[in-house]
Amino acid sequence: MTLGHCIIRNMFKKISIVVLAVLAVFIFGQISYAKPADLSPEKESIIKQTCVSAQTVLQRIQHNDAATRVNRGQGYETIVSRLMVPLNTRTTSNGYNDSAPLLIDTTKNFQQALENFKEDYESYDNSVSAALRIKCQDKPADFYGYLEDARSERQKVSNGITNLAGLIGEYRVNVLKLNNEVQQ
Amino acid sequence: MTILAERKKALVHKVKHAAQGRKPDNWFTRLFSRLAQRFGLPFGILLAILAALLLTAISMTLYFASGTSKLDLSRPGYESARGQIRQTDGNNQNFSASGDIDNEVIKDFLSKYDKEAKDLSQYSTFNESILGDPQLGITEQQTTPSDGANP
Repeated sequence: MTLGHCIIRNMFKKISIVVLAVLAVFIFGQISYAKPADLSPEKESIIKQTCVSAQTVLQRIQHNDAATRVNRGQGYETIVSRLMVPLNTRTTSNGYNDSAPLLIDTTKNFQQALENFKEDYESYDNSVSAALRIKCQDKPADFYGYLEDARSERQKVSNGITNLAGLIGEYRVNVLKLNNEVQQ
Repeated sequence: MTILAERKKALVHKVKHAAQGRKPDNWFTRLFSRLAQRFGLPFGILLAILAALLLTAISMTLYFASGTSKLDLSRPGYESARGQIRQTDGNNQNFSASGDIDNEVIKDFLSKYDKEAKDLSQYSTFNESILGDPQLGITEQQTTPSDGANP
């Protein structure tokens, strides 16, 4: 066996280990666990009766949410990459040193908030998918646990959107400050 | 006889390797070359299929694990969602990163910025109440569950 073969085999082993580790992290990271809800016998009975139709509604909501996520994602990306970043570059290159740091800081916060929004949406969607996958008539407490999880995750997504809207407003205020600096 | 011949061949191979200062082949290499010699092209085809399956499995795992699948509206069942996607003419929203800055430039920027911000306001804000028990029809009364999703 030549030295080349040895190197290739060692490399193959290392790459295989890395690929398997990455796959394991991705696969096990995706599995959503929720605490089964504490339900009264009446509530459990209601859930058993109605959960199949609830899952249908939930699926429709999930589909609509996917479209909203794509539209919002595109809108936020357009704002940050086609508007904020070019204006920041232009402000810096023209030497408006009072406004440039403000604009750049808000952009960084916006980018961070956008990342959080994407992650929160993914967690939310995982919870909804888990609630849809489960045989809810057999496991009503688990189904309701996932549903409660989805509600709390959805609230996080909603808070993220409020945060992003606030940063869009903050950036606009900073642009008006830049306008004042330009006029001076 | 065949076993003896095979062992002799393996021994000769080992001696040759040792004489050339190489390490002896391990079981994997021996098995691989034996299979390749015995089955030829079918073995190669099987190997290619296995490699394709492995690569497909890796790419599918990445597709689902990276979250790309959640944004993929070409999946079955998402026909209605596809119709809700906003078609944008991105070139109109471009703002140049070079040039001077004056009142007109800022005015132009703000008009594009406000338009984009206004467009965003028409989408759902992921209100939590949409997942409430009454909205999902999880109530004692057998009422028709409302969709509650974005208009």
